[in-house]
Amino acid sequence: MPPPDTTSGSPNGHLSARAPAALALDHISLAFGGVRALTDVSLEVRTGEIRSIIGPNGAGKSSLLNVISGVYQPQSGAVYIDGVPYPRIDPARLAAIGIARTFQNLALFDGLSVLDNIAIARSPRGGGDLLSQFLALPEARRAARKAREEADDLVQFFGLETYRHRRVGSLPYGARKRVELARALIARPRLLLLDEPMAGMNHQDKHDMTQFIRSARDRFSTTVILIEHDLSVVMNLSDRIAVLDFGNKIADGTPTDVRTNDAVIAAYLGVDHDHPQGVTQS
Amino acid sequence: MTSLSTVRQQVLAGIDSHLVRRLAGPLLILLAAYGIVPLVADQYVIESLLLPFLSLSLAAVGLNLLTGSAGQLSLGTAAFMAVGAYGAYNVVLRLPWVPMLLAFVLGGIAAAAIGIVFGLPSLRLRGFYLAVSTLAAQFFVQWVFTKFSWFSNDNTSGVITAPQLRAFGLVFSEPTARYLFCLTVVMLLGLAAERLLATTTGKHFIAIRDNELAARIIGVPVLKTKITAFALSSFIIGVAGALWAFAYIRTVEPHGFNLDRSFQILFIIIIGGLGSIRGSFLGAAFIVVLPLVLSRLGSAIFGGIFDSGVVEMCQRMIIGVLIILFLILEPDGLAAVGRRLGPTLRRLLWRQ
Repeated sequence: MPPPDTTSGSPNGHLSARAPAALALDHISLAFGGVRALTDVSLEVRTGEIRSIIGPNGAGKSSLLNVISGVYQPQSGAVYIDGVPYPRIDPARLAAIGIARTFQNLALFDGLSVLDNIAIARSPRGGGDLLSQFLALPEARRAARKAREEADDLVQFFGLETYRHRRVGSLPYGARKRVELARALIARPRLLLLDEPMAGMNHQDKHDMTQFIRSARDRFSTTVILIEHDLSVVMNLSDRIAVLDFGNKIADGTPTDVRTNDAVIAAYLGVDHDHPQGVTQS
Repeated sequence: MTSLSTVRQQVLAGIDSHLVRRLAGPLLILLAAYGIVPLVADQYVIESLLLPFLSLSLAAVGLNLLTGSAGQLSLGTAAFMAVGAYGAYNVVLRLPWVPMLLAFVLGGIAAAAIGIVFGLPSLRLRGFYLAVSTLAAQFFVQWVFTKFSWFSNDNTSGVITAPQLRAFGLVFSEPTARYLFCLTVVMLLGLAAERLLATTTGKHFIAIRDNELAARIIGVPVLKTKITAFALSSFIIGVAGALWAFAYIRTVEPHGFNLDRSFQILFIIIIGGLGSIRGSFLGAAFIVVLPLVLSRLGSAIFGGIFDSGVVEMCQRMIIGVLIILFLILEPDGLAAVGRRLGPTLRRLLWRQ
């Protein structure tokens, strides 16, 4: 058992030592043919924390995220969500389980407005059958109004008011990243998976996004798991960090632990000459 | 007090002018379509322009739901039209007590059933591969109606002659009457399609078109939505086929619903605007009017050498070039061009 969290913790205080981990990966191994993407990786994520997974290119970060979201099926190991084992996660059931994710290369619905992009994820299977939608019967109308109201809240939360009715395809990049985060949040997920939320952003956008992720965690009391390349962002944002290298977990702990870990420094020095500065700097 | 009432007036005026601006266009078009066209259009204009325009528009509205909005490419449109036409014909023939409008609905339902069957591969296939599997519908349906003369009341070549249009105790035999009948059916189904796109299901169509994986992951019922798209699209296309057979050409052979017709309707939605109901009408108008304009222009300039063969060839070349241009330069088609020209035109009109 890891010691009780003493670093930053959750501002809402919903960390509990007795509750089962929000997510636990138990000895996950994943291979594609002869290529081992993940070897015996175990990972625990506490409720309400911001948990980062870092590592050099090809370390297996995206594979891990894809295992959690059911895109890949591991050869061995098990996934536990709030203590419940999931031998197989069906991507189509992901929202029902309470997992939402964003994608590295934006996966928005370009033909829909900002509001519709967000509202559509509220309860896509609710709101009555086609006929009651078509005739705007009370049930369908209520569901649509509820989705619109909640989407509107998120539009304001993410400062997207000026784009509300614009088609998403025409928005600047940083705004689209925010729409995707809002779409993930409207379903009130227990687990929020973020695949490189800062990819392709400038300094200001990264700063804003860091604030958004933190305040989204606080306001929606969700547990955040994120993959990110920008180490200064990761160090600043995370409660705990796991480090992968060649499909193995080589370190796991608070940002301070990871920053001074010899294996981590070696992994980054050995593979990539740009990142160690990030490790030692902030 | 005074300021409050002025505010109220301003708000009311704002609502009024907003509503008026939104409804003025459609109302004017309806007024013209119902009030003016029947008075001024002669038999030729109705028979060879307006009736095919209306039937093709409706087929395009149907295909646009499936291909334009839900992103499922289909080359089986003419097959679904044929099922609608032959289905309605057989209902009228074999169950004479069924009102003709209901026969149209049943024809549409038959087309929807066939559409669902040939839409099932869409659960596995997409894009080009799906198009090829809908092509199977095209050849299969045409073969069935040619091979089994039962469907055409034992006519050896599969030709059917549609009975007179009847509804609500009225007989629609004159061209103008058939035009009004068609117009009403097309208008109602066009409005229904527009309404459908505003529902949650309509938004699911677009979500699946734009990013199927993301749609699946946020919980959109992808399989159900795709099948719904095939069913509703084929229903509308089936009714369009029934209109084509009963109101427009009236003597139909299976060959009239061949692959060329499927492509023609696909071209209509590409030129008119993918995913746009209005675009379906604009594209159909363009496709119907183009040969006429070409032959008039051609014979005015070149005289006798510009015969129907040359017109046909020019038409193919022009449509081919336009498809390429629209796909590259304006994927939203004539509908988007209209949207952009609209304000300019309005300004010019108001100034005069």
